[in-house]
Amino acid sequence: MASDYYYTTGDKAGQLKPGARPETDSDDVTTGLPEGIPPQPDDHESTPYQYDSVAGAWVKLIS
Amino acid sequence: MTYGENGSVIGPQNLPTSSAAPGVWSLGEIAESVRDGAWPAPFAGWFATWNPGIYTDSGDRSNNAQLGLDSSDNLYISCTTNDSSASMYTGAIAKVLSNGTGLVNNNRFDIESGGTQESIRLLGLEVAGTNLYISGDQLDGTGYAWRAKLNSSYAVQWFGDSGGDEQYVQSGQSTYANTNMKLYVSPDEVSGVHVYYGYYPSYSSYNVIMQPIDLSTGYKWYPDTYAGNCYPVMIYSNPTSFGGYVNGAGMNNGRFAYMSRAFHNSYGGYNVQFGEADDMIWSGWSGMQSARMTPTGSGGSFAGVYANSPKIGPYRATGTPGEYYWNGLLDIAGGTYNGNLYISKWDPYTGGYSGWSLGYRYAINAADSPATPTMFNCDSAPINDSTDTHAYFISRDNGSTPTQNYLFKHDIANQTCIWQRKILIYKTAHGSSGTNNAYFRKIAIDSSDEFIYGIAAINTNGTDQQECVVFKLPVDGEGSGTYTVGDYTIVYGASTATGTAGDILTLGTGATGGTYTSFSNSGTLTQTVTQPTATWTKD
Repeated sequence: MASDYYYTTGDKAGQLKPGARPETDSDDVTTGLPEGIPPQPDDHESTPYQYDSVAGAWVKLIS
Repeated sequence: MTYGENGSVIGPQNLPTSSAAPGVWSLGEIAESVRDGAWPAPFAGWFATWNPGIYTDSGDRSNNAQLGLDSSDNLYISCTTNDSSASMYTGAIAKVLSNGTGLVNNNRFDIESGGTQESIRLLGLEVAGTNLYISGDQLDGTGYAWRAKLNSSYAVQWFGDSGGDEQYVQSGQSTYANTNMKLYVSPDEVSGVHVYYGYYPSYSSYNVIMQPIDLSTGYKWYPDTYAGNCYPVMIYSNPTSFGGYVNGAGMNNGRFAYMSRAFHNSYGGYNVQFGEADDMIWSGWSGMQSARMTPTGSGGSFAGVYANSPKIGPYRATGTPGEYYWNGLLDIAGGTYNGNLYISKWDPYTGGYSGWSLGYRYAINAADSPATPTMFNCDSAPINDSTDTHAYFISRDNGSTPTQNYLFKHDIANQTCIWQRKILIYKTAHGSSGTNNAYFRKIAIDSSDEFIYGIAAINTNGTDQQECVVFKLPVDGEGSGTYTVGDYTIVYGASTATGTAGDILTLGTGATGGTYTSFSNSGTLTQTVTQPTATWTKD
């Protein structure tokens, strides 16, 4: 199967094709939390949470 | 065209329409007008309730309802059922008679480990050809995700990769799914993308992976079939502690796409990340076109405006460039358009990540509701008819006491609303004024573009119910009325959300994600399908 963004055959195999693809390489990510965000709940490893910026609280994804 | 001399005994001559024919008519006049499509047709839609009959004690409930149509327009429905006293979950799947008068069959889908029932949720039902592709998770101990293929007789064709596998984002870490993060399949049954999320210690958060699989075997493309070419992709936030989740995804025969309410410190906090790739996610993250958007208005900036649960639906066209097209559906939170429901077409083939156009937004009209709603919510992806002319989508308001849903028929190219209808559902004995929600997490359209189908799990008076509500509604929007379906009252009628055409997206790069191969799968799970007695009630 061909790729829309990379040549998969020929002498350019593996090279990026020209086009409108944006730069998708991830930047350097950081850990921790910004100032003003409450710490993650103690059980955040066993229970998934999402931060609700309106309520200013961590909300469980599974109830 | 005239039909005889006079349709009325006294008074001016009447003309029949598709909705009414007042007066007195001869049989000849009726035959002529029926021939010309100018005679009222009986309402061919229906509303029904389904209790799968698995857990039926007080307090037991059904959630995560899904549906799908096979290649002959047979309707399949599914949900998770919960035994509240035992904290046990399992799956239910049924096939509906084409006229809606009953069920062809009703099935309980259990997963066992070592012969003992697992507490599993059935969260995804995709129907392609004559096969059912189901997926979900397990909630006991260290959770895992699962996927399976059933034939039309509900016989398991494969389960996981190698006959019983549990799926983990990382070995030993809890992994889950929901009705957004589930198994997606291409209609031609070539490829699927299994979306699930798990705890990733390196990021101190739960993060989603999009795992491309071979639909004929259930195996992963990487490394089982195409080692070194197709890769799963993980998306995450920055900082990573916010986690990374997919809120909406879809695929057609050629492409896969996702949308996410995402957090990034450099882009105003919450915004929307989106991306697309081929149906096998060839080259992983580097072959995926991902970017960011914020619905702040054209030329705006990333300033904390996002969508609560953005959804994306594929176009039905095959080949290039039609299979590249998508409709995004945003339930906007914050900014000028706070609370609006916004639909826009994405053409990444010619426009790249910024190829969004034909935007149209709906502002809720509080006068449509007995409560005072201010916002739309997205629970279900938009769908297109077979020619990609009209999009259909359903949205839930935040009225709460009660909450209503709104079904839209939208002309994509002309940026106009064809019609909009509100749907209010409540248990008759409870009345409509209590806390009241219907969660339509999947809609579908039949192959002849005649009817829309939807299914919802129900919460009335603040309590999840055992019944799901299923509808079949004609694409002409007809059928307004109050329907009594068993213990439920359903009010279906016109709504008046304010529509405005215009592109309001600000787009940018900086998506965060990466090719991810540290997943884990193992296990010897077994499955059992039995036939409990369901209760199906149609209006």
